[in-house]
Amino acid sequence: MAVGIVKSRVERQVQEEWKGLVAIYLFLGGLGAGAYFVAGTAALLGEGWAHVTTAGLYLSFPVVCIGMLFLLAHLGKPMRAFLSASKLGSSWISRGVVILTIFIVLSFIHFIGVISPGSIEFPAAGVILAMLFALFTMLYTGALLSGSKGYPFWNTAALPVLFMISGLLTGLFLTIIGMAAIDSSLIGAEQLRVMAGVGGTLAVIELLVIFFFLHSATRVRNSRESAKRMMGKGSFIFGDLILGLIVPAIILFVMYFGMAEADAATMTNAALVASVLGLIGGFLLRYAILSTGMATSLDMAGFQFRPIAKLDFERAPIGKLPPE
Amino acid sequence: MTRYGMVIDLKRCYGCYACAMACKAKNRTPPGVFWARVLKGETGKYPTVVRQALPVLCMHCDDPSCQTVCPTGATQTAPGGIVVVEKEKCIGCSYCKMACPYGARYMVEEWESYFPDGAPRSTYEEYVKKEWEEKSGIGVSTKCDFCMERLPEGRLPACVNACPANARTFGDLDDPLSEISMLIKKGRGAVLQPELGNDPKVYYLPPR
Repeated sequence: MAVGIVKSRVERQVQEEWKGLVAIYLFLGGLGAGAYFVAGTAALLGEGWAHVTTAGLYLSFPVVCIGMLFLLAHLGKPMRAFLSASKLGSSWISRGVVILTIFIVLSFIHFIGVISPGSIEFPAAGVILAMLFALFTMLYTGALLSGSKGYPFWNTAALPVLFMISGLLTGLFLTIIGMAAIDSSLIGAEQLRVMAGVGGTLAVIELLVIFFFLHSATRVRNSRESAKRMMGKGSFIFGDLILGLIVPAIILFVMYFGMAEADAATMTNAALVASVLGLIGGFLLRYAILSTGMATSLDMAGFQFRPIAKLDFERAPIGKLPPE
Repeated sequence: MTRYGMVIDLKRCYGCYACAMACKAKNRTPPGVFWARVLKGETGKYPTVVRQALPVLCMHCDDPSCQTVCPTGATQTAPGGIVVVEKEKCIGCSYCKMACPYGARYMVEEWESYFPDGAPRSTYEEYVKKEWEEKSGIGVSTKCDFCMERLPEGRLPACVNACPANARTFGDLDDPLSEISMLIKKGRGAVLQPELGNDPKVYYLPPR
């Protein structure tokens, strides 16, 4: 067994604090908020879109609540989480806690109003307010990362925009899955065609924002290595870009432009394929961004020093003979 | 008012890691935690390659980004401008670690043994672990505090005391006649990453 540094120097500069659990939290937060935004829009469109509203509401706040559980699991001291709204003036975690709490309360009230008609009348102004907080939730998941000065790859205004677009798109996909799961016979072909058009457009916008985000990152010395690593990740290129965005966008545009005569069942099957791929892509996008974050280099008198995120040594086998 | 700071003369530092070891010995930090570290960098091309050591620690910034992002107010600026963590308030979210451009923060999830092959902690390690849990805590953010409990006694931080090349100078930045202020003025003292606007209180004198 070799003794010494086992990982490459570059590998050790990648952050390891925020990975799986935080990626799931960011994904579920954006996903649930996006699903509510779709449900809220459908609620404002009228009774004809009731199935879309119901599916979105059934899934949005439980998904966000599950996401918050992942955040709690990530904390070193989860029992003190109630303290986390103490610095609204400067901390994005504090702001996020307030935004999420308001969003969950509003979407829950709306949900109760829909599942038991007559119990609570949720007005249109309430829906618009909840949709606004859903947008804030999606933006917050990106703003949380962009507030990290130590990681120049994340320290950009493009991330909140990217996470918002991705949240809207994955929310749309989740709603489609919810519609099929609740009662696929209620899905209208024309509704799906409209949703496909919106989804396809969002996928194209997301591709453009990802291009802009990575292009701008490669132009900054401190984030170039992160951008290169992200573009070299198979899970990002094949999982997110190709299978999670390009393939769903093609399916959705075919549904919108080329399946005008198709029945609802065919449209639903096509939409479900696009939705499942899109959801996987949405998670892989966040995971790729988190897992390629590299600490900023420290520059002094023409030297560049890179802090190592985590020391990873094979310890010397004390009291044993060295291996042959 | 006193504003503690440090000057590190890179002409004098030869990267012996005495500061890192003194910090470990004094603060009894767990494996993998180095509140005082020494980074090594190279520049130039063969045959004119130059190697340089850069000792880093918490910069105790005047405008610390770790304090800005801390959601609970656990990160605070103590008298003397020393940035400290109140362990009872820290929730262990790691946001401060992400926000610190100098990599000065450490999260300790578990106090592993220094010994290899999954060996259990020794009696001394058990004692030190208990002390660490009382002082800094497990599952919370930790960092250098300029050995602040030594300062009222007129003693210097452990890394300053241990430096064999006398590369480190500690003192009051607000006193224009202090040694540290004179060194910064005369030796063209500079801070790391000034463009980030954190206003660090650890200055470096250039290596050449």
